[in-house]
Amino acid sequence: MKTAQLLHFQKIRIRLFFRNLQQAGWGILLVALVLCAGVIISFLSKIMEKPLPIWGILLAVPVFLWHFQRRDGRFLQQIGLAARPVFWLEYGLVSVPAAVVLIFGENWKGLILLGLCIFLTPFFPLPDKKSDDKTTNFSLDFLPGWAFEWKSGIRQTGYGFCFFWLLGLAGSWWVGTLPLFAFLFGTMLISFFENIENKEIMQSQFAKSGGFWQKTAKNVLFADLLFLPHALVFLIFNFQYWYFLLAIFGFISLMTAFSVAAKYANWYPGRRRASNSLLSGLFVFFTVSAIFTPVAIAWWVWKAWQAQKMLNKYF
Amino acid sequence: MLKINEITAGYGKKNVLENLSLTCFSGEIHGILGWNGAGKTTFFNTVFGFLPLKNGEIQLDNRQISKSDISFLETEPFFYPNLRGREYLELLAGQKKVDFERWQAIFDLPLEDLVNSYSTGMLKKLAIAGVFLQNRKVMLLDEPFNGLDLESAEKLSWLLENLKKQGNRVVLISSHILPTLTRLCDKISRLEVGKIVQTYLPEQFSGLEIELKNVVHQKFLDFG
Repeated sequence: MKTAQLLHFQKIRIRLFFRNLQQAGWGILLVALVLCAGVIISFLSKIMEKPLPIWGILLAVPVFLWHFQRRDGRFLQQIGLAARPVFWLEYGLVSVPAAVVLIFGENWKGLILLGLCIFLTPFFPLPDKKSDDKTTNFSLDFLPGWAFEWKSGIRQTGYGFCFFWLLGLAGSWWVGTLPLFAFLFGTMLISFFENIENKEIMQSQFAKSGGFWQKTAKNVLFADLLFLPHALVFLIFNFQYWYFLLAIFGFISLMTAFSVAAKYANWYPGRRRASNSLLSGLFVFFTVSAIFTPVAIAWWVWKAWQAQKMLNKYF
Repeated sequence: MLKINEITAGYGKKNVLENLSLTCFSGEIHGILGWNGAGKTTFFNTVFGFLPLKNGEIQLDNRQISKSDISFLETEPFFYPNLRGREYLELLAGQKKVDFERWQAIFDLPLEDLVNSYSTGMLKKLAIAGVFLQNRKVMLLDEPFNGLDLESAEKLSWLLENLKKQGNRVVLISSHILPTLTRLCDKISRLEVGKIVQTYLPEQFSGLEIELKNVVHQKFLDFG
């Protein structure tokens, strides 16, 4: 194992991480940091209150999630780096804050468990990229051509999306299902709008004036229509809570509109993918916390303005 | 007529094209020949409008050109994932009806398969089909023969010759492959360090070949 190569690799990873942060925008990050700090402080006070050993495992959950999401095993092999030392180093570094918290809380058993989790995680094999691919080529001809993001997204999830949709429908008789389903659906939407079409398709959509707003309106309507059967089932069984639907449709509409706007706001010729998960995650947080909803709306307006400016410049 | 008049363009402060001028007539196939890094792709990106003009103007039939006049085949076209080839062509065609059978017959494309499963050559053929389907007045083809097998390259040549016969399109093709250009083009312009250094007519094509061979030979001698 070449230590210099390992350190050099980590230097590149850190540089890429900061580049991603820069792309998200420092303003947004500052807000995210303040909000995250609030969540973390309240979480920490709970850990300090009850120093149970289980906290060690719970604090290692992000590391597990990261490990099973990784796709760089083959890349590391290609550049001649042994994967496990890289993982130990990375997981160890990200777990330093968790370890510090456990030390301050004098939760020694938790600390040992955390260390054990970090040591053992790299022994689990990384998911196989090919077997992970659920893409199916089912016919979605009943969907209009302009809904290509939906076609692509639905095919990407395989039968998962259909199963999820039917499960939501079946459970809509219970008052709690619909808000939960709407929340998961809203977060799923983000990934549907992360790929960017080529210039020919963009031209066919945005050559006419108002193309961006038309696209936004069509997609919002489509998302709302997908939700209509659930809303009807909900109304039949829970008519007294009809006002829930206003909030739910508002959330779905705003998420869709934001996903469309975020896709084009930072577009430039040749760009193939806009990774908006960080932005959109924050947007979901703003939208669902009633007090911040106006911020979410203002944010969407700003993104839409940026997107329109960009599209006007090039199309 | 496409008239490119003294254009200057580049990335940031760096100019890649400097006072470049070129005139192409309708019904003409105009070849752009240049070494790697000569500015061919930058030239196409500028004509298409992806790079802003710092100076000069581009006119089509005595008016300012717009993107709706141009279809542009990039060297490495990309496609939206998880869409079928047919769906891609339908999206491009909009309200117009697409003759899928024709494109299937010309390029032998599996239009019902997802584009993710296409090979590089198949993606190129799909992109070419898209460019022809757009049916615009100006066609910019950046290295259109790269990645095509012999049969597909012949079919593309046939499509271009047919287009030439119609007489109402301007086609600009960039390539490193001189025999392909000399066979198809009415004129060939040599691009060097962001400038058109010379435009050759068919009777000068054989001279161009000798000239290029000499340049390569000289470069080898300089290299040592």
